[in-house]
Amino acid sequence: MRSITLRVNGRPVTAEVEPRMTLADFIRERAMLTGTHLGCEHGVCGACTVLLDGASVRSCLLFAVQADGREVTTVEGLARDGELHPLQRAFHVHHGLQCGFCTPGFLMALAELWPSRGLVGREEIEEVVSGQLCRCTGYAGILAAAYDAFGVA
Amino acid sequence: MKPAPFAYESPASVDEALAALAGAGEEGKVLAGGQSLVPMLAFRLARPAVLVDVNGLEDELGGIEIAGGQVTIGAVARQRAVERAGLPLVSEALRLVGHPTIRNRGTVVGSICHADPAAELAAVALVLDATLEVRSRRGLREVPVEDLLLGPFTTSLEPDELALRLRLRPPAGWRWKVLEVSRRAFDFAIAGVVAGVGPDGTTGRVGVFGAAPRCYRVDGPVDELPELAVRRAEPTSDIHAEAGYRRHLVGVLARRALGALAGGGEVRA
Ligand SMILES: Cc1cc2nc3c(=O)[nH]c(=O)nc-3n(C[C@H](O)[C@H](O)[C@H](O)COP(=O)(O)OP(=O)(O)OC[C@H]3O[C@@H](n4cnc5c(N)ncnc54)[C@H](O)[C@@H]3O)c2cc1C
Ligand code: FES
Ligand code: FES
Repeated sequence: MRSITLRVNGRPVTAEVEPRMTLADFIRERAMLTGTHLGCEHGVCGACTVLLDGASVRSCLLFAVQADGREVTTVEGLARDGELHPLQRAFHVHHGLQCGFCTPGFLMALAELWPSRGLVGREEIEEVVSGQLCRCTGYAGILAAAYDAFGVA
Repeated sequence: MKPAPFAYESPASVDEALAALAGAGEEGKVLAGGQSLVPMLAFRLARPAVLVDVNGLEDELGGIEIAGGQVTIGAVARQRAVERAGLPLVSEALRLVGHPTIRNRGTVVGSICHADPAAELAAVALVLDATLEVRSRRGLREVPVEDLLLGPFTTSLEPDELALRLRLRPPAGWRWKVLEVSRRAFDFAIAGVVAGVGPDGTTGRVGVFGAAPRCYRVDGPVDELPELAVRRAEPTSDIHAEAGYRRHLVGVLARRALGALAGGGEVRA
């Protein structure tokens, strides 16, 4: 066991963990934030995507010990002061979700691009969206939401 | 779908990493980007007793250097960083490797060491006469990627060896084109080629991925390359495609890529 401290959405979370505990399980079972979902646990579906120091990662493919001392942002960290993030609002408006299982992953993968909005075009958005699996929507609503949020025609 | 228990080492230097690997004997495994290894741990296809995490060796192994016609890529240089390093052929191939999120963590050297028969980067390494600098406490060796790849997910690396850097040697004046067919954009290829034509316009090389137990390369006159590439294919059937279709793709993709190159343009290495 190792004692590690991660900053999750700005809040320090310290826990004793086995090295084999994934970052995803740390987020869900130690930080007690269950917005990060686990679909496949082998990197394929993207449901577990979070930001690590601002870069998107599959949290099922990283061990929590590897994130010791680093900053993690999960879907719970998107809204500010009770206001949805513009990406979340756009998903709501454009019906970018049905069951919602995949939604945190899509939001976090797109959130990586958010600081470069204005420079981001359709191609970058589609590249990101293609890395995430959604079994409900057929992607049309998700793409419409992303194009709208990023202001690309 | 959770990895079995393992001991975790996070060395702060290459020397410490080599000591940890030597100490682990047959039971150690290097953890780089984890984008292939962690899924294998989750499926318990791999059950190393000790994981030696090299992600802390950024200072020693994080570099990407372009000098004297040679490109050197350190073992912990992320695919995302290499993609943006101004190497047109490598970037074009990397755009086909997984998704941006996967490339944020995955390394170029890790992809070579993983020896996936469908790895784009292994085919690029073969056509660019790449070698891998490999070290253990027993010594240092420079292994041609041609000799490294033995079969599916199998290399000539010993368990105590750490790959430090990949060296690519793009021949002067060549032009390149990467083509693949996959089920979904950025997924693993069903089959693909990295085709190149030399400055004389008549001799070329084709690297093939996804069509044999390991990536391979053929050299020859441009007109004969598609046929040579097809003849070396040893495809297998799986849920994604039948062997015959893969073999067919090798010929079609090689012809298309070389055809595009004959029209001029396309990327330099
Ligand atoms: C959803 C998804 C899609 C993907 N799509 C593609 C694709 O289209 N094409 C493709 O080629 N790959 C694809 N990959 C694999 C990805 O490119 C990996 O990043 C890469 O294969 C391995 O690099 P890594 O740094 O993650 O290595 P790791 O997973 O950390 O290691 C892989 C293997 O190499 C060994 N190793 C790594 N570094 C060293 C070293 N320095 N010295 C000695 N041994 C070492 C490890 O011990 C392990 O056996 C995909 C992965 C995922 C999850
Ligand atoms: S749960 Fe991590 S990618 Fe599917
Ligand atoms: S909304 Fe159900 S999987 Fe995407």
